[in-house]
Amino acid sequence: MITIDNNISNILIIDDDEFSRMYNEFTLRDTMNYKGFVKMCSNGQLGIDYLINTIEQDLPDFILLDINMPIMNGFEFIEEFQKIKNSFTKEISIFMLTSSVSQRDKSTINQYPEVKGFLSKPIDHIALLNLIENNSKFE
Amino acid sequence: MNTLYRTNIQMLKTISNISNLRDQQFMDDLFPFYILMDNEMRILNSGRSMDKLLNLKKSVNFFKEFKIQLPLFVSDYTSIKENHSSLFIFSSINLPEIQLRGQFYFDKKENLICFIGTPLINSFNDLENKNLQLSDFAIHDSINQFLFTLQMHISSMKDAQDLANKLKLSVTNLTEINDSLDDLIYKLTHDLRAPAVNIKSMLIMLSKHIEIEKDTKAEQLYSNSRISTEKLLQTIEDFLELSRLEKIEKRPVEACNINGIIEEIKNENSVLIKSNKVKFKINFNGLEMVVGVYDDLKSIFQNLITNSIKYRAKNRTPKIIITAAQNGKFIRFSYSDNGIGIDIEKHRNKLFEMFSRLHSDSSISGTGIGLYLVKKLALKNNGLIEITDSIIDKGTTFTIHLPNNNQNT
Repeated sequence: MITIDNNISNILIIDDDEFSRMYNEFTLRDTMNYKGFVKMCSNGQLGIDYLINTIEQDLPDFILLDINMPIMNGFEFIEEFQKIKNSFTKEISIFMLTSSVSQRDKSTINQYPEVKGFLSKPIDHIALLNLIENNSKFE
Repeated sequence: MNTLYRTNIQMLKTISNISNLRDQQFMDDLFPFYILMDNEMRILNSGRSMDKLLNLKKSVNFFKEFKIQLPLFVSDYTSIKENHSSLFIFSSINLPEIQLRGQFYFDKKENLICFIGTPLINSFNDLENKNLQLSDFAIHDSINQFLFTLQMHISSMKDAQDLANKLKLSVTNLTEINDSLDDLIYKLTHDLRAPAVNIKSMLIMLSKHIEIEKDTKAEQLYSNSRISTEKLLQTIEDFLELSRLEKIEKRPVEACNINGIIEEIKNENSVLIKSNKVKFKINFNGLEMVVGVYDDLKSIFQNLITNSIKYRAKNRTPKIIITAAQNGKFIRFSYSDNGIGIDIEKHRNKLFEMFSRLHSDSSISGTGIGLYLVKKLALKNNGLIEITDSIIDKGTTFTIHLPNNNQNT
């Protein structure tokens, strides 16, 4: 059984698509046997609101972030996140959820140090596991 | 020209015999630019077309109105008479841009001098500037031929211009239609992708429940739905890729490291590569820098690699060998796999065509866009791809030529 790192206990999913959120949670819980907490937000603004109003110890270990969303999209979320992240002591990684992304988009996203990787939809649990493993923070 | 003037003189001789040079109507019809003078060079009459051209007053001396340019040194009645068989060119003193060319005829019986000729015209604009029309010239006038040809030329030029304008308009319209079609395909496939991904996601979730229920019929139905969804998604991905290619969006041409591109593809497809135990043998001999659009080059190798995995031979470990060699201004990449191969003689021409699928095995999902796309991308990046060799159940070798960007070669 593939299991997610035990140190991970908080995950934030920001995606406007209900089915996509449902599947992401399913992958974490059913496929990866994740027992921790999952918070789901349907746009970037709700994600920012959640982060501001959450106590330090409940902050997510990583965020699965969709790009195209109403009200506040993925890029705008990262911009806002950069403004508030210094008030957290916990380092929060961001994994981008993408439908096929062009190299130019990727270069843009790569300029954000918070973004630690890309996941193509529907997310593959092995790919997610690889991202977590390659991210030194979780070692 | 001289023959023609001689003929004119002959005509005039005949006229003076049967009629009279003073007969204006008669003279107008035959020589609309004539000038009739007495033996002291005083102007008596002039042709209707000459009157349109210049306002010649009666009984004024010819030399007050005109300056003779050819023959040289001709400036009086006597010298005109001596040279009367020559071709004369003279210009109006008041309007020097008006030049006339012709001959003088001497009517000994009536003691008259008559100039017959035409103004010098070198274009239609010139004709318009002089306030003249084609009908102002005598029908036998050689300038008519010239002007007629000129008119034909101008009107056919105008027709050609009209046609060119129409064509330009059609091209603009077609380009617009084409662009909006490309746009439509892109938007359509882009919007289709999300629900297709969701169907796949829901199916994966459903499979968990089917596993628990142990319902074999449901399992079969699930499996069929899954295959169809994979095909749908692949088609959408291929069309997305294709419409990206057709989109006018300019992407930067830069120095690209093919080795880096291959590593990136391997990382992104690590799941597929690991689960099929694909082995890579890559040796670029230091020749890994090419010039092109990064995404395009990546797409070329991505398609080749996924094809190799898709069409692997089930009874052996899939192997992909990529090497590079210099070939003038190009790097020649050789890409080989040990897959199921293609009947090269039978399919050589169809291989890079759109929607051509050469394998009848319906369990392999494919849209027939992959290699078509690869060929288009190679050409777009000033390169070339060709199939070098393929043996059924042995494997396939492609050669890809891409512009060289290695410093020391």
